[in-house]
Amino acid sequence: MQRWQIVTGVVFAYLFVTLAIGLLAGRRTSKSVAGYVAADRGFGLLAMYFVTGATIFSAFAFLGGPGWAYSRGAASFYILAYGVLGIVPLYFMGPKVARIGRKRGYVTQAQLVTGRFPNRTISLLLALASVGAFVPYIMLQMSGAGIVFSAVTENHVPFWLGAALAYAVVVFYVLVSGVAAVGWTNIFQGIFMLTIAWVLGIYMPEHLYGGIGDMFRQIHTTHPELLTLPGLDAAGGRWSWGAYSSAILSSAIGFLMWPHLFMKSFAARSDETLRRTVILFPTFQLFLIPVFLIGFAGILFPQPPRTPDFIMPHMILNTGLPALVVGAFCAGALSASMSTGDALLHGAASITVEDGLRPFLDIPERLQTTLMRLLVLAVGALAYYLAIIQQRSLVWLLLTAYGIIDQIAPPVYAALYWRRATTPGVLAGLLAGIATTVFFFLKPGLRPFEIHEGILGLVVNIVVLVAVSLATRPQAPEHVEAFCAGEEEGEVAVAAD
Amino acid sequence: MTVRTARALVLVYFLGYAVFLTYPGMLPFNRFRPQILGLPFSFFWVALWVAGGAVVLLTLHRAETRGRKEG
Repeated sequence: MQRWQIVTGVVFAYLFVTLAIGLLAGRRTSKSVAGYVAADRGFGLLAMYFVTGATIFSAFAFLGGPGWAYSRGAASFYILAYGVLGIVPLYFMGPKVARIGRKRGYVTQAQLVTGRFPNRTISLLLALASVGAFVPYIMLQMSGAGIVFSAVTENHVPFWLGAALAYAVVVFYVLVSGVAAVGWTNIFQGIFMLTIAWVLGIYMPEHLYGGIGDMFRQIHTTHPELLTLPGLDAAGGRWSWGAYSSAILSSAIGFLMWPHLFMKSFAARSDETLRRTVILFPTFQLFLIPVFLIGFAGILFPQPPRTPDFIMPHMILNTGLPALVVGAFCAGALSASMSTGDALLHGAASITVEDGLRPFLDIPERLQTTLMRLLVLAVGALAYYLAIIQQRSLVWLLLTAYGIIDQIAPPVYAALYWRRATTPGVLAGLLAGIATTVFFFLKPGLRPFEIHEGILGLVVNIVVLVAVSLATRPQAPEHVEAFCAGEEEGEVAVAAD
Repeated sequence: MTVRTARALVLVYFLGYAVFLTYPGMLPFNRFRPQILGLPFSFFWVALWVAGGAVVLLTLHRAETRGRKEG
């Protein structure tokens, strides 16, 4: 048997185990919509921790991160920087969101926002923005799966087929068991990914260059520009500080606004669970260090990968590691992209039904679940098609998604923390913010200082929200009170930054 | 540490985080040497703020849970 066949065998065995865990978990939750979307509000700390971690650590971290470290050097540090900054508001906001959600039976972000600002167009806009951001994010995961399959099988399974295979598995278990499967498979995959990444990240520089310090000294001698911030851009020129800094800010602000993460606040068993997830989060973030080390190790490596996003499997496959380790690691990267992919597909489908359709149509409960499943298939197919025809880097896809997702932040924070905000203000801000973001996305040359389009949209969004709110009649104090009821005393707007 | 102090600490820490990891606050730390744990200093600097974030959040959490038991 050839080496690639053994590696491929290990990968398939792994996929089989993940699928089995997902299916077993599916029997345990109820069949209602609340059960499908929020797993009966019963996630404990262990599940929350790995769901959050493994959902975040996807093909983006495993393949895109090292791809950037390899081709753009220090520019990749932005990925290490933004996550912790992004999750901190959850510590303050999460319990509040959970409380309001429990009281009023919310399962999505838009329900929370329109609970405070009753307007169907706001709900629809939030749904459109979320799904619009989900599509590039799902594309990223599919491309990731395609890259791993094609690298591992030495292109016997080509990119398009690999992406299709991985997603058939994901769609299958999202359809069968909803978010509980997402939770249980992520616990398994989370533990697995963390361990192997650290081992390989330390082993590889040691084995190839005699240590991490020696490796960086050699890179510093031959490619000093790679180790100086803000690193390089996609064409190999100097990246700008404006782009680097605003990549951190835009990703940090958008981070919690991802509906699949935000909805986890509704699924958490207690406030304590949410808070602990935040405290433990930096431990997940630090795991990017070994992953980047593997990317940096590729800079001095004689054979280049097919594209920078291939650097991780390229290094693992070509440095004489045992076939079992290679297979297990590639399966880990694959499952990272799949576990995030399933949360995303599931999120996109629930949001379209809950926030895009239900405010306008009266859909019976049974039909809603069917509709969600059809949407999982449809969104998956659209993202798959786009992933096959596009040529951009994995990190670029996520940065683009953040521009759109950022625009959800002002409505959410206004709903929770600004009593003077009004419905017309939120609606106008959202429209202006989305329009600005899309404009600068289409005309990147017009951005001042190469600032990320999401930040530019955010500035317009906030200014319009505040101005229109102040110019319109304040909401009835009873309404605002009723919305915020159940808050603990002294809980002030600490997280409004 | 009281809850109020701990919350202020978190706020100040993460403002510092945003300032010292972006332009222009990052400039003085954008250097290769000294290498720490083998990492270029700029890499280590970012990782240091991430790890520090965990410590600051843990401090806040301990302050809050202690206050709850006493009350």
